[in-house]
Amino acid sequence: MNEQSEGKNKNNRRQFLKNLGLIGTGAVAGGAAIYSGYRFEKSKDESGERIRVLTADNKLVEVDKSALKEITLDITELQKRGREGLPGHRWVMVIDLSRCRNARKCMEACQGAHQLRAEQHHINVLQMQDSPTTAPYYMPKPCQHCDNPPCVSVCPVDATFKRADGIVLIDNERCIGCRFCIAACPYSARVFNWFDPKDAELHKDQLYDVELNVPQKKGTISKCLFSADRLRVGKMPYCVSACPNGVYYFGDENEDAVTNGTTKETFRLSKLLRDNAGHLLMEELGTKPRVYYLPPKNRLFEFPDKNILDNEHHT
Amino acid sequence: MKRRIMIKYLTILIPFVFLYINSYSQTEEWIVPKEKKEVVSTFNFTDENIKSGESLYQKNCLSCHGNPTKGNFAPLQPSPGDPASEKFQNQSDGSMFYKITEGRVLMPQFKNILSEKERWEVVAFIRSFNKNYVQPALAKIDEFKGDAVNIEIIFDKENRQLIAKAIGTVKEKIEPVKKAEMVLFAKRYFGNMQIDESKRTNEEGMAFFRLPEELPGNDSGYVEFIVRLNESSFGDIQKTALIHAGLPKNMEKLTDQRAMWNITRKAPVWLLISYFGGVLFVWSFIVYILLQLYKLRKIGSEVTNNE
Repeated sequence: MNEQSEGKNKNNRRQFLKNLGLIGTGAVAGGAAIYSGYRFEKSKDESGERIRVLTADNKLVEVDKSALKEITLDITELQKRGREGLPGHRWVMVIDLSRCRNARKCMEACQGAHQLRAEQHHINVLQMQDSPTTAPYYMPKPCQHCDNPPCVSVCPVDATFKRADGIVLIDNERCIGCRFCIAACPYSARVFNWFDPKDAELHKDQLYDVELNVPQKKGTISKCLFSADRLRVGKMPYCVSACPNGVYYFGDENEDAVTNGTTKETFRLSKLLRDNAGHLLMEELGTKPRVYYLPPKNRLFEFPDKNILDNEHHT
Repeated sequence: MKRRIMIKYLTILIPFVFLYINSYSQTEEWIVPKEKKEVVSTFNFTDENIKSGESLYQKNCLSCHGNPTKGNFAPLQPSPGDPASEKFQNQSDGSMFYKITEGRVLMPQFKNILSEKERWEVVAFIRSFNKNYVQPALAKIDEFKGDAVNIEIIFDKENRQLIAKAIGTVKEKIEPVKKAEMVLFAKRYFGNMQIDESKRTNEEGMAFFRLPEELPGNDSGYVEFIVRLNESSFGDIQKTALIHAGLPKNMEKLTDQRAMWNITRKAPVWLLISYFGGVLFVWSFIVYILLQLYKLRKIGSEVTNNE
């Protein structure tokens, strides 16, 4: 009994010393490992190799090579990029009603780019006549990209959103097809994919880009995107560049400049609107549209049907 | 009274007179000034010129004039016509160049859109459809040699004007370029915006451009200016300068304000308070009931234990 207890005591002390030794070496080894790791990370930071990078907002910055992380453009990255928008811009469109003669090139270019069916329109050219005694005119009508967008307010799943640069986009991957936004939009700017999209088989493996909203998806909303993908590379929207009659101006409110899509001439936005009495569509609703209209005065083209109110389509 | 009636009639008449002149000029043959007709290119039309002329044509002219030789031009009044047609090809190079430069009615002015060289390249492309075409002798370049002409840009902050000075070398002596047309542009995202009107240089070779009061610049107020010499005899000469002459771009992001349509973090305060307040109220009510039930159970078990 005694021997056993003595042995136990002896064992205890030995055990204690053994444990102490183990913990000691462990701590030293662990510390060394952490320290060397820290040294390694630090040495990586100070590799000294610096690289110049052009940021998205066109600034040249210098960063350490180790800080670089290559980003592959997968669907998540495209969605993230699409939500942020282009910094420092506020896109604005001006439509000159006196120049439109219903060439419909804008609609063709738009439907081609966004893989839309013939009956779906992100932009539509309407025949207008305000009253039987006034002159008829053509009016292209894209999404107004409101600064107070009712369609975004009603979206229950955050699928449609407004970006810092003013564009209202739709994310197909989030859209549940409830069509609240169609009901909320006073400009009827949105379309629904009731059927399989155009050439669905052909585009089914394409990577979904939220800034182009292709491939389209059955059961989701589609809308005008101000060709956000083109703006990113410094080009004007599809409809604007396709117009043969100089109807569209597109530009940046921040720069107070708009460029004509046909002639490529650049004008001061404030002066253009002031000199030509630019107006907004249904401004009284408080939606604050980003698309301005210049009135159809001094029309450059004869209107084919003198009085479209007599036309059977309008009765 | 009579005078009043006169004025009334005149105000009615004047627009008609203008309309008449306008419609008259539209149907009238496009008359090119004689001295402009005789203008010739400063360079030979090579295959390379024709190629770049083709891409310029496709960007700027195709929508109305169609593909040359195909006759698929737009049905406009006055008719744009096919550039490969005889009517087009019978003109002199100078006439074509003048028409592209100045424009008329529906034909846009390309003076400030395409450079001198680019406009000649379009002419070269149009000429490539005429097998009988022989290019006339090249224009003689003035005393100023192309490369030797330079533009200096000076910013006069006090008077808010930009002074562009054109200098060239004549017989190895530096001299101002007099009476040359200069244009000032400010660089914008989709193109260059013309500032003030085009000016002619004075005896010292200087042109003065008035800058608008509120010209937006970059984040710190710098504007990239481009001065171009619109004079064919010198070739294509332009100068770019970054000058602190604008307003800094400081408009807030459009998503910065609290609004119904914004993300949850940026929702209106009243909405956040009422929603989260409501949720909190309901949950606290549920917790209160559960607490009461627990208390009841506790009292019940105490009573049975005592028994």
